[in-house]
Amino acid sequence: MAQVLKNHGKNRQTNAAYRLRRSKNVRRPPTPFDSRCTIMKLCQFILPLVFLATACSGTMTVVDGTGSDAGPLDAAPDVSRDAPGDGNLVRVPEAHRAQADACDHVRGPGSWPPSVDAGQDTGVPESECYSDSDCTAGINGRCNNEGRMPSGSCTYDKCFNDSECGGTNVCKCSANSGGANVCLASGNCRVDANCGDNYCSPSFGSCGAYLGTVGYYCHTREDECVDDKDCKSSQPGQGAGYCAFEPTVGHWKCSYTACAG
Amino acid sequence: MNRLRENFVVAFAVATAFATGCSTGADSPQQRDELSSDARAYLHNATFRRQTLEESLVNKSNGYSELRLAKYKDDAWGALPEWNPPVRAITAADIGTSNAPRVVDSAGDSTFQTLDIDVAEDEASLIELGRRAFASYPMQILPQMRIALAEQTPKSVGIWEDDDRVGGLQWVALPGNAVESAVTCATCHATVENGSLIAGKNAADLQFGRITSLAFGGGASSAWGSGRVDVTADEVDNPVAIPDLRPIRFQHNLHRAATLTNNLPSLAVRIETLIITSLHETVRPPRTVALGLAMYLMSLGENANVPARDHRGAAIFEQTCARCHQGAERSGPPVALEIVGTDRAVGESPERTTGMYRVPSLRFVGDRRRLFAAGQADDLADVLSPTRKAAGHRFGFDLSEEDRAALTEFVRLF
Repeated sequence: MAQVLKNHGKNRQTNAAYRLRRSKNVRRPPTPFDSRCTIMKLCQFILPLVFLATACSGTMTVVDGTGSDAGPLDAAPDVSRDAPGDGNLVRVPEAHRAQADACDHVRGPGSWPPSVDAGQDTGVPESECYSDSDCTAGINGRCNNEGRMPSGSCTYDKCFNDSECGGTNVCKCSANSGGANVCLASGNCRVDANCGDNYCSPSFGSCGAYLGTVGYYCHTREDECVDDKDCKSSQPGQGAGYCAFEPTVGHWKCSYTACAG
Repeated sequence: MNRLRENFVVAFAVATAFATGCSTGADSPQQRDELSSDARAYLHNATFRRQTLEESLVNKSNGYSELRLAKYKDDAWGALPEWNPPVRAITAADIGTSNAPRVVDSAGDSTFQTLDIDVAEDEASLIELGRRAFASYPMQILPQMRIALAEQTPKSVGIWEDDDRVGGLQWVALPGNAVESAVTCATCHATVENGSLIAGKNAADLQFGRITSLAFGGGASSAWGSGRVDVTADEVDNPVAIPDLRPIRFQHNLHRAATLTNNLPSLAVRIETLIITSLHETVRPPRTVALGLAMYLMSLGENANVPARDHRGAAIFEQTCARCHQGAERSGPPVALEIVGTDRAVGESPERTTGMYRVPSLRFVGDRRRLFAAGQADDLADVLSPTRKAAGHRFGFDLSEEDRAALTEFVRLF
């Protein structure tokens, strides 16, 4: 199971932990293949061209939904898949959206006041709010401070189900009392059925685990990973990564970085 | 005979004058435009690039260094495909909707273009390429920008507007007919003041954390504050103030934590690897773009002021500040965190730490905001104020009010 990334001042969660709270595991028939795709071991070191089809061929190893504990990986993860043209293409991700769940209308109190002494060295500009009652511009307004620096900001529930979001956008339910329900305006699926024989899973964005899920994307034949546990790199300078949809290549791959800077 | 000698002397003098006037001196346009040997080596010599990286890393044991030492090689990051995607500037017409445009419209036309990187390898051409790339080359794909602008005005979230451009943001054409919003260097490192774009100056009002929080429903980024971004994946809450790039040519070190030594090729390598990691090691920028950006940034400070030495504040500066902010650059070697005394979170980042903070160049500091590593001090006056809330950097606190005013006035002239 991917490790929890929660840390001081940062309410981060892994993709898997976040998704499992809101999705249901749907077991699909496993595909009984035995051999490993050895070419994928090289893919960790030779990153694919933008428009390169997968070089992987051959048969696939069954990996069930729970998976086994995975230690540091020096080789490419066992992103087992069928031969092209076969049915299921990717092992069942630990988190995927088989059906759309509605968000509840109950929201706990905001996280303000902050846990740090506002008199400490911060220099952060004034807060937007100092109590939940200050947040009146929308539904279920809450005043939150989720970082090291004491600065309150208002958040509001923007939706309670997908139909309120339009297009193919997903209504992301808040992960905690401070977070808000929002319409995710990025992504290319709402539920597994949108992805043919593949799965629709939540993904972090370019700034990493800071934001939680930023969109739901279909898994593809070209994926380099399926779950966060596939991304425990042994490369120096890269710790616990995450499996995310990478828009520059159009498929899922391991990522380790944060916002540009 | 005398007339013949006289004519010879005149002729010789004239010939000498012509020869002198036609010789190529140090200031000839041809020599000014030639690339330095380092710049040319960066473009064409992998061994030089690797050596530059190794020599620039101050602490080879932090995460930043280890990752680059492992992957900045021809058979790793060097093997990534070059990326120069079709882009289109996000304009005022895009505000109010989160829908991305099509790359090709119903009439079969496209307003998307790739950056023209086919330029001559000379100084002027590469600086011009860098200038164009500064506000058009996509540094990181960030859908939260278009999502936030669907409901917020640019001003309300600190995004600058200039003519029809919005924050230097770009639509980027991606695989699978996808289009997404991206930031450029200019998004964070430019401002608009009095109707003019100031390239390099930090976007002190940019609420990047709030933009992200609004788009995706909360999170630690909501508390970053204006002009700050957490750029390290070190699982520590340590947002850093967006730096002012105008004085980069004067900087002794790069990064707040003094992670790198600074010169043209090391800056080019830094920019190149920044883009690679920001795009999750899937692609790399054209090296002409990385070098062009470095050269363009280095050119920003060419016209920085040099205040008069007889200013009353000059002597006070020498006594109070010049031990660290040295020479004409007003910068210097990095200083231990405990000596600086300000908040240590940025300096202790496991990803970038050197045990020191860089000494920021004071060139252009007069109108700079969000000073110190995490932006704890509002501006120059706040830095020198004995009643400042933020701790540390107490240099000059014991000055008289009169001396402090003279010092402040002097430093504002840099």
